[in-house]
Amino acid sequence: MLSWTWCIPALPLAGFLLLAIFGGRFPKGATAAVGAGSIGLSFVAATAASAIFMVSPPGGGSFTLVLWQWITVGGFSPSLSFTLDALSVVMILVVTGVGFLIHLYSTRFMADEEGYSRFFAYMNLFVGSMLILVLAGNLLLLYLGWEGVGLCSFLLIGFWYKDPENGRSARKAFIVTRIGDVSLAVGLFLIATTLGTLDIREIAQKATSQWQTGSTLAVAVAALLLGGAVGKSAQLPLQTWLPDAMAGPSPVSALIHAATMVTAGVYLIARTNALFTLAPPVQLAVGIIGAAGVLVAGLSALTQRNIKRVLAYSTMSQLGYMFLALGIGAWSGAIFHLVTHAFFKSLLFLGAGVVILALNHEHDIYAMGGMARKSPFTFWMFLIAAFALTALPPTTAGFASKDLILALAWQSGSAGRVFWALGLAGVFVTSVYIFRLVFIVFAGNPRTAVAEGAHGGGGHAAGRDGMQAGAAMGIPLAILAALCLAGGFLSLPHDLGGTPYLLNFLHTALPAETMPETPLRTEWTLQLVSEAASVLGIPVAWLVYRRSRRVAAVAARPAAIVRFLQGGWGFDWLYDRLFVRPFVWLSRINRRDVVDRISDGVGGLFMLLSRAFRWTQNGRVRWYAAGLAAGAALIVAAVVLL
Amino acid sequence: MSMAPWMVELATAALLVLVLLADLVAPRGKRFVWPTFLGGSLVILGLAVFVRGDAFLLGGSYAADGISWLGKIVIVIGTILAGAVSMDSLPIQEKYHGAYAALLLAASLGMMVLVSSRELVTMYVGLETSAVSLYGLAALAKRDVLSLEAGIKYLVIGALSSGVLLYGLALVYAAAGTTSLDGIRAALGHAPSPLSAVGIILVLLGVGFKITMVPMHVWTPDVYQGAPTPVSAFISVVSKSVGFLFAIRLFSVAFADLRYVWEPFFMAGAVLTMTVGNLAAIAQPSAKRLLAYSSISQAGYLLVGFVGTSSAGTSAVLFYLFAYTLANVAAFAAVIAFSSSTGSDRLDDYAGLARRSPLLALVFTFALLSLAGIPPLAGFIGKIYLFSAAMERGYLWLVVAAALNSVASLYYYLLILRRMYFTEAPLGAGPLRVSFPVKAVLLLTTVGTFWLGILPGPLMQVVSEVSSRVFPGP
Repeated sequence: MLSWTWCIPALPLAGFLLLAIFGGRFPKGATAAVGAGSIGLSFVAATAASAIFMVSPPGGGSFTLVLWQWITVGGFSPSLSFTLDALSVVMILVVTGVGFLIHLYSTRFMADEEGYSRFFAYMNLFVGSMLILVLAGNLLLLYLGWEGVGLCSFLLIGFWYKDPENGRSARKAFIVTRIGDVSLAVGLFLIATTLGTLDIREIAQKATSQWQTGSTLAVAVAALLLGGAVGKSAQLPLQTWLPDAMAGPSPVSALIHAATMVTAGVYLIARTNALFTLAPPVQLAVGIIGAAGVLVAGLSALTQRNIKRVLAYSTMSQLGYMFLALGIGAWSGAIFHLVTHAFFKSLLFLGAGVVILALNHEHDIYAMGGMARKSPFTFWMFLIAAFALTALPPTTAGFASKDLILALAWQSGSAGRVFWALGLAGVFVTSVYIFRLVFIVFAGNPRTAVAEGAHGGGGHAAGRDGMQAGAAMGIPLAILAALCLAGGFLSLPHDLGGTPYLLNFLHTALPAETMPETPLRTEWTLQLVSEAASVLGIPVAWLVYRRSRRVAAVAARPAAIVRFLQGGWGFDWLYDRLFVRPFVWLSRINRRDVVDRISDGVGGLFMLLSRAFRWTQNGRVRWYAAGLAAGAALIVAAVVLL
Repeated sequence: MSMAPWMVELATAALLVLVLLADLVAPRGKRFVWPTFLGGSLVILGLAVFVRGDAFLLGGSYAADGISWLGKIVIVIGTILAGAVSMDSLPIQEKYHGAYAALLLAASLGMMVLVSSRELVTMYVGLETSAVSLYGLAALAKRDVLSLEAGIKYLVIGALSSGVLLYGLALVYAAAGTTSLDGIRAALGHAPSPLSAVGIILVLLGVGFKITMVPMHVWTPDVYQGAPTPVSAFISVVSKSVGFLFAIRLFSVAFADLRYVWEPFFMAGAVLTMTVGNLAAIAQPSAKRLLAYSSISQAGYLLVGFVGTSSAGTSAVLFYLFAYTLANVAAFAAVIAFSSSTGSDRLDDYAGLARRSPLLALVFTFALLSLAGIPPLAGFIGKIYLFSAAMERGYLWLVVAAALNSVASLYYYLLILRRMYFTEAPLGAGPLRVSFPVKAVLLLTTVGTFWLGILPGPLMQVVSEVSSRVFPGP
């Protein structure tokens, strides 16, 4: 029934191949059709697979499609297999669904750009890699997708490669996530050598039966996997690449932040939850990293001037909630928030993209303003996303998932109370930074002339409004907004009379939360408190906005604390001093020294040998014959004498 | 005696006659020669793949078994690919195309005899048939001094090592009293006499010429560089593969019980061959010479497989031969495409090729990466199998040496990539014109290289089945 699911990742990959090989010769229309169409078909396939999966669930709640055995070497035989269970079903729907909307939007957004087919080739590869990652039944295959995602993020962040600054950002993203990748790779080696398998289900079984809870090995493996996850999901301490990743075009940011890439770390931890359950200290660390990330990133978002950097820090903060949920064992809660976050974050980025395009690629929010009148449609869409982000009614998406996480945190012991408090503070901060953004960008008077047909093509169309920008950009926004409004119904809290469909579904693949049932009264109280925090954020944001308007010199010299937050808590500064500069310094003083002599010596020796061997090859056949005969004589002598 | 086991050889001989006839019909052109050659070879390929039986003929001295089956497939594939890249890029006059195609077929016929015989004299006849044809092929561009020189060198060194081989075979015969491989195995027993030990080593040296094992490799760079490039491709791929099958027959069957006599020389030979090949390749300015040294080092990796346990090692060698054939033909085809369009063989002229002809640069890249053993390409899987076969016997040091060599080889392979991708093309250099047959060869070999790297299972199954039956007894 489901044996054709291989085509879900194969379609985007085929699109990539097609565009990579023939893309240059395609007209734009064909490129767009292949680029967006392959993802669209993949979404259709994913929907069909999910429908079949839900109507007639396979035994054991998961379906494994073994494509083939890759190699068999020394008892190690990784197979290429896809696993379809509740977790991967949810993930493929999000990746292909949101991914398709972003692709659709890009057909218009990128219309004026050079390298149109290059863009869609990378985007298709990105989605294809992510699908391999989430469908992989084997950590080796997952690693393939993982690396593919990393490669594509590099290519897309540096898409406008002519500006060296973008190249630097791309390199930074690649190198920082690479640190996590190495950690993950070492973790895989450790798993393969100790358990003799990389099949995810076998790992869970073997680890649970062979390893003691809290044993060194379990902790080491979980910690290494966590290292990979924080790299990809931009959590402390490997978060510094994400704000710089804004160098890519807006749809890329939407894709990285919503459907692919950053969610990979959350997915990895949820997928290998058995290993984390065996390592309580690491699981606690996941929660601490998450809770800290919520606030660290949220406060940074408060002070940013670049519209996309605000959203980037917001992503880090929201991923913090997911890590927090994973840390307390609320695996399904984390995935639920991942889903709703995909809805509102992609809407925020795509909305920001419309604004940016309308203002001729202006990113500074202090140069914006009055966009509500210029682009009412975009304004409403953005506002809905902001409401969803802050978990305010009438949107339901963020509300249902975030309050679930906070309620579960409250219920899960004393560490959980601390997490809850930090998370609640995060709710308030979230509300302040996002409404600050909304007020500055959309309220007041325009500070930059809106591009009116100034630079042709999609630009002038987008200039007035998202809806007028054409269906390609407007429809994705509208659909995402609808998802933000209704997404919460996937799993409404039960004190509001909802049924947690999604959570029940996810529980067929992930262990259910072990927390005691939240009493109705507590749940109501918790919801009220967090709603109050969100609502309170709006007037505060208004005050911040008023102040920023009044104080004209905001740009001149911000206070030290603002600069500190703007720079992302000085992590970049710290890493620069801690790693980059010592490294550069070391390499500078090492330019001529012993170490160099050694490696030069090796190189020189090889060149010498190479030249010596070339010299023996002098072209004189009698030399060859003599050498050959001498060699033969030597060898025969060796035989006779030995 | 049924015809089926002879079918492929007979068909090749028939095609040889047909090609000569086609040459007679249109003596001054290649109009009929190549269609006849390609059409006939494709039919032969079909025969080679589908006609498969276990049969022993001529009193057991000739066999149609697994090794000969795989061997013929490699030979025919190699011949077709070499023929295809020759059509439009041979540096010889059109009137010699018929002779060229006929010599190719004669060489492959000799090789087919070689891989099918289970008896020393028949083997030697097959070997010499192919060798003489190859000498002619190498020297065929007779207006080109380098080609003539290559032919002469190939002939002289070939005759010398042929003498060594013959002397070794004679000693083995003297010690065993029989020329049948199974008979030799039974007669030599488990304890070597001085006679048989020296004989075996001389045979190893003689085979070493075919498989470019150090110190018998000296002819390789000059011949590969001087001979017409398609001929170099043919020698480096088909002749070498056949040499390895020859070695499997001799060392894994006839001398199997005297493993400890020859194994140290295989190990030393493996390390020396890959090291010398890799080191000499580093500073090569000529693309063809670089590929020559690279193919020497590839032979070193293949020798590692002989050290492995009989079955695992042999199947690894067989698998790697396919991987190597595909990648090396692709690399040579890329070089042919480049030199027939630009007339240059200098690696420096590959600068900016990725801008000029991105697809050509890309398939060349894949071929080189497969030779270097980068996943997910065929060379990676092949090396894993070769090295793990040696690991099973506990020769960690050998595997480490081979792995280090693989890394070293990456250096000069990547140097080519750097030239193609990161240096500017000379001013006014446009895209290259690549003829259709060369394009087809590049496409097929690249697809094959990916296929074997991603889905190695089926071929692996076939080669392990074949190699499990190479050994008649325990």
